[in-house]
Amino acid sequence: MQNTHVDSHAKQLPVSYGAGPKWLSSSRGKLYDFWRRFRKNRTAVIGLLLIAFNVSVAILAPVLAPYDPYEQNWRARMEGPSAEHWFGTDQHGRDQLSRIIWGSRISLAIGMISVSIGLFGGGLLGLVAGFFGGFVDNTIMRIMDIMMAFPGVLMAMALVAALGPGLYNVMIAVGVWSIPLFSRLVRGTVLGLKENEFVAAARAIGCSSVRIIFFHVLPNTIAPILVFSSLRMATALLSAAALSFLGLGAQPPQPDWGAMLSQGRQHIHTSPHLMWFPGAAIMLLVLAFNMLGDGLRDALDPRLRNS
Amino acid sequence: MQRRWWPSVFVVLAVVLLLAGLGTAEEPRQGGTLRVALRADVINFDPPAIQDAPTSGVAFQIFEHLIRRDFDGSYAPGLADSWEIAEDASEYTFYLRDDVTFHDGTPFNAEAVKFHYERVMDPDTASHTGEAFRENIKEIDTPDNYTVRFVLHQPNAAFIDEVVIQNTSFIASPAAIEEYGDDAAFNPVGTGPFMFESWTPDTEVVLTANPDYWDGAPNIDGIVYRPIPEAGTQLTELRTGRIHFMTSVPIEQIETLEADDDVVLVGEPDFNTRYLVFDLDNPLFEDEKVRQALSYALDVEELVEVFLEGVAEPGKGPLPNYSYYHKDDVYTFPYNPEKALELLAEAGWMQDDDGMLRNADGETFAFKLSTPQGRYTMDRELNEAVHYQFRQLGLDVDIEVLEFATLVDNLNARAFDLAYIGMMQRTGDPTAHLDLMYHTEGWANWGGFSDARIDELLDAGKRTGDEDERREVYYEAQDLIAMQAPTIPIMNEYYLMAHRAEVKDYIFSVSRTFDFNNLWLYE
Repeated sequence: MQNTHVDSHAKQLPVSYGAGPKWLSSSRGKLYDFWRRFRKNRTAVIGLLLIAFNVSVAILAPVLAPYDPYEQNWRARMEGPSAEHWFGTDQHGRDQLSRIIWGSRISLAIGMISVSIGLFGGGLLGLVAGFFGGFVDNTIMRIMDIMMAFPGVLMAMALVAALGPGLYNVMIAVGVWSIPLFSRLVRGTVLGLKENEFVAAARAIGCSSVRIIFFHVLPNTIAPILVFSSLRMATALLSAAALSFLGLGAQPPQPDWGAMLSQGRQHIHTSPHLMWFPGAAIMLLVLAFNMLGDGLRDALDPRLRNS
Repeated sequence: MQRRWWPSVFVVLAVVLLLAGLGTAEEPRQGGTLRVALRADVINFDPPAIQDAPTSGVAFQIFEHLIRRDFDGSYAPGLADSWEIAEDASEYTFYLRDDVTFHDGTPFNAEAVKFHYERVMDPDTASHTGEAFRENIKEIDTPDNYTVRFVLHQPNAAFIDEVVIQNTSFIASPAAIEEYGDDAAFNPVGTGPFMFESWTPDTEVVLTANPDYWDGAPNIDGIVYRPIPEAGTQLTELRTGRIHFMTSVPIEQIETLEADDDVVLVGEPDFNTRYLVFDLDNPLFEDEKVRQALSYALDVEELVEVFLEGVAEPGKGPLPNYSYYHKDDVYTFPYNPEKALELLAEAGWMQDDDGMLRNADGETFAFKLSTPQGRYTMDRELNEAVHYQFRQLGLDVDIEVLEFATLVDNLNARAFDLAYIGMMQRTGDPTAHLDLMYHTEGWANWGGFSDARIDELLDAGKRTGDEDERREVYYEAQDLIAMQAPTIPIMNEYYLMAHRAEVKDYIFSVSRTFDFNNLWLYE
């Protein structure tokens, strides 16, 4: 009797919520389960491979790049692809392949740093708002609403205008713009979680709020955050490229893909390779993060899994 | 002189074709209507009120000045066929043509000139140049029907540039001004090669040829101007043949136009300078040797040849290369990185093991290079190359790409280290360049340059009408300025314009950009 009761109760709970801290403690089984589902999703695996490729290129840039990405050769400007310069040369006679290789560092840094800012800022605010509710929740979320009232790129542009152009400021701007999105996501998850018995149980045995938030609630929000972060990476990359395209981001001579795209555009009729390669690089990485994000969601979302 | 080598190629080619009998000199075809794009609609045709470029360009066909600038930038007879300048430049006398009539049939004479200038100077007319004219002109005498004498309050060698060839000095028919009153804005009556026909706001301005023009009637029947504000649209209209003229060519369209056989792209040296200016309050740039070193470190010739072939030429000295008083052998700093390093060493900057310049305290030579983007031809690209050359030398320089308005704010606030900026004037007279940029009081003296001797020379140049004396003064001033290197001259940009290939015998020059009197249209 007793057993049946427990089982039937467990079945009614959403899987990812019900496990509580066990999500981590018995992670081997869960992780294996996740990996099994993830690898069945071919696009997600391709996305992951593309990202892994990009990360390796970024790490190995000094070894892989055939030329110094800053070395100018004015007499070899805007040459098309050749055996010597696989991706051709740019307006200053710099090797485009080397610049794209080094540029992958910038792109990944933009993605990771800006998403981290959004993740930590928004995640913390969302946790606090969702867990405590009431006045705290209201104050935080209304501020987030105000931030969300501005179209994203517009807010990022305003921030960069205030902070001054530059790569770091673009990371901050894109990160700050992500804060309300993360906070809403986390708050929503927490609101659902905190009504669960394991939270009540933790409280009953005398855990402090801080302990409950960080050791009981937080681990359960990781799945949706992971999915959203991956998708957000793609958006962050695109937004940073857009800001660089507008001249607000990377400052010359940094080999930023968005800036390269922007600077190549006035030669689109005569030297289209100036746009092809940075454009393709941006497209591939953004696509990779989107594919990964979709795959993660499919693998982690219990509702989709049951169907 | 590297002046415009490519037109000479065409000239040679044309001569060869002529000699070969393949082409014979064509008689100008009479007739046809020239269609021209305007960047914006015209505003007001009453000369005292003309200050915008589109109106000025159209008014240039209807009205004339006493003196005009010739194709080479020198002064040429206009409504006055000769003139005299008092030795101390305090009196200007113009002898007028006696065979000119206004489009309304009334005669052009000294009274008409006096009437016009007094009207511009009248505070009630509220002309934007009224005050400048009042400050210059003390009185206007008309000793006879075809002589006008301007007596100035104080000598001013730049009187012709500052007053006589201004937009507000287009001479209008006094009879028409009296007849139309406030409606003169819509009924311009002048003496020029084309007569005003109609103006439909935001749609078109129509002019017809003046058959009685004193300098010969135009070949074409008339001109239709259409305001087309968007550059991309102008380009399409030009390439599809719906307009003959595009009056300003955006940089990014150059390559497209060059590739189009139906379009002729023409460029001419303009009276402008593009240069890097040092903030002389910055301790880094206080030492003249440092500024000279940075001048030596840049291969300006190569830079301009590589990035701006055909659209600009390297700047030489503080004046535009085609200024009447430009000194051809002005002091310059030919590319010499070794010399640059020597001078920097003398100033206390030594290269460390990594090639970075450091002073005795181990600090790097760190400064910002500020540049606008899209304001001047290839501005950002050029400065990215400058940045590279400075870096090669071991300078710890960073680029800052700014909105033009922000750059100007920073210049005004002296919040810059080294900035790329330009000076553009309709005249090459030194008063319009050196006085603004290098006089202690000059409004465009962004870096805070001040030299007593140079101030003295510039004041002397403005106060004498004697050409030889002015030449001597300005030659000395140019060298003195150049040697101290308060700026690094980069280039003189050409004025670019494009027209259809069926427009023949069009003489393009910056000083007479819109001279449509000699051209004809090939069917």
